[in-house]
Amino acid sequence: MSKFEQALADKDFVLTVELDPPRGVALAPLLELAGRLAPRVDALVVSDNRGAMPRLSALAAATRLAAQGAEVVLTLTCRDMNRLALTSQMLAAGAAGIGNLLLVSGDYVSLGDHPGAKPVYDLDSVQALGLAVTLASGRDLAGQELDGAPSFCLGAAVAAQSDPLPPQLIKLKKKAQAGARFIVTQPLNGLEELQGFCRQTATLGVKVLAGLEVADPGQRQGVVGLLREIRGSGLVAGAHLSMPAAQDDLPALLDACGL
Amino acid sequence: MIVAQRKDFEQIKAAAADFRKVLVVGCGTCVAVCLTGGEKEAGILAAQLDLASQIKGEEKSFAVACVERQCDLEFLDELAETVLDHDALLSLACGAGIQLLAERYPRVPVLAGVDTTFIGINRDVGLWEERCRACRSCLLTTTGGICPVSLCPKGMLNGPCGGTRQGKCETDPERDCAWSLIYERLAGLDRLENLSAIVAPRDHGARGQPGRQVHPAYLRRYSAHE
Amino acid sequence: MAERYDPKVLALICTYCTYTAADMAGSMRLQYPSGVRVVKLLCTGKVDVLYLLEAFRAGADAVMVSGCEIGDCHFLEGNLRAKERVAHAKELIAEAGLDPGRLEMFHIGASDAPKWAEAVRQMTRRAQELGPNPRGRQKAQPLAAEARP
Repeated sequence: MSKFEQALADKDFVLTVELDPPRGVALAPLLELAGRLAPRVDALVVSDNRGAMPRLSALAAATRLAAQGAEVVLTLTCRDMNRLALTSQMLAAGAAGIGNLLLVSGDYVSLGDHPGAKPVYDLDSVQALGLAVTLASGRDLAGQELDGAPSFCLGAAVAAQSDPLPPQLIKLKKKAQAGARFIVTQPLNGLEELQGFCRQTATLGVKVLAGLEVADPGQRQGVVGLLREIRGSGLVAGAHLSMPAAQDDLPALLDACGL
Repeated sequence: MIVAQRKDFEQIKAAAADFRKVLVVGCGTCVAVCLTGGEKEAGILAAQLDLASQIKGEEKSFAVACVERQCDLEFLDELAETVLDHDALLSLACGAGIQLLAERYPRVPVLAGVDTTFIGINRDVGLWEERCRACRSCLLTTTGGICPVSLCPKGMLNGPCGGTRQGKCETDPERDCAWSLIYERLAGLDRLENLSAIVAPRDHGARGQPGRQVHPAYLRRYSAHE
Repeated sequence: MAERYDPKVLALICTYCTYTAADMAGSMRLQYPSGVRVVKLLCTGKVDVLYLLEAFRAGADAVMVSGCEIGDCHFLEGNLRAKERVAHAKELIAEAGLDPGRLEMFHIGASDAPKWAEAVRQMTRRAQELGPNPRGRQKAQPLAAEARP
């Protein structure tokens, strides 16, 4: 069982932060930032070409972070990899001691900065969870035995504020069936977005982490307040913080939140 | 039907620049219905090209022919004599038709006058919409007759991604989310249970690429002679 | 202004309105350029984009299509269809390298002989300003590939 999975089981409220690998080869600042963040959160979630914008490989960055002792959740998107590439990345993650995966479809390429790229989507997120479970069982999708099986705590994403919500819930149920232990919501705007959602997901047996994003570094107070509200509501198992425009300010955000 | 759109005139003109006698070959099936490459459009393109070359004072000639289906050798045979008089064939058929024309007349360069866009439906005169990707693993029985492979940009098989907003797609606020449509259709049919089972990854290797389909009668006929 | 010449203007006009107006222009002894060649159609709805392209291919310096006033078409919407086709053909001749001003749609009621005379003068003037059809005066070849069995 990964440290993060243990935290999900033991703690009332877990906290994760999202880190983007650099757009370039300069990893040192990320490693330094991660060193400061790791002791204060339950896991560092390494994003994978977030927003369909290519960066240094999430696997490579996550491997380095794990090597310096951080508890890491590696994000993998179905947009950029077919089942062969996903298999090899998951095996590499397992070999690097990365015990947590967040498996997502991935924003469509036209939303990113390489809109002419060919999107893959060989698997969808439900099928990618199935792949990870299959690998953990010691076989690949072709049924061949693995020389050493990985072990993962699996997560998926959900749009809690989606309208209509029922189609999302149908898929969320499949994600839970397929092996997701935790669910990260897309960035929320208010507590009310969680209320109806959590009523309907209570029976799924997954831990919900409320996604909170500081889009504008000058406007972090809203997120600080919302985090307090969400924590107080007891609706969710934890929160996932991101500051895509200024992740270097994440320690300051944690300070402001009193965490 | 197959839907296609005519290439930019300048592009066609440039492709035809090297040839003196060009035969514009229309196709009377799908591309005629989508008003792109039928007899009428072939005539218009030839007239335009001829006018343009006359204006430049070039010694060129353009002619028009239209066959019922360029994707069928039987119809391409009609052109055998005509083709001999020309330096190039400018085809307005879909990609399949263009290729068979080129295969049938390998000694004459074949130029593509259209871009094939998709397999679609005729929504209205002048409006066509994509509906099929020829994926070889049709899911329409369970998805309420709405195809997530062609209508969802990500081709999601197990439900919507997180990008759906008020029933629209993250790639375009004007585009309906295929999975919202599927949900509504099945809810209306009281068949939402269709969506409960996890759909396994698609078998992209089902028949190998490129596709080839053989009728049992074809096998019977030809294996008897072997 | 280009060289002085006598432009050839092809007029495709409908029998119910514009042709009647042209007829009346004759009775009224109205003067207008003699370079206009009139082709009478039952309705301008019969006008095809290919007719218009063929006219220029065959050497017309300008082409005018004239139907009934909007709302007065004997066949309800033939003149509206012609209007759309003329607009499309303007784009097509522009792509081929001709000034789209060489082609125009008019709507002339049966009793409006002066409007007909003015329309012909206008198209002739335009053709004079734009110069002769740049394709020259040689004979055009038919487009249909010879069908040899």
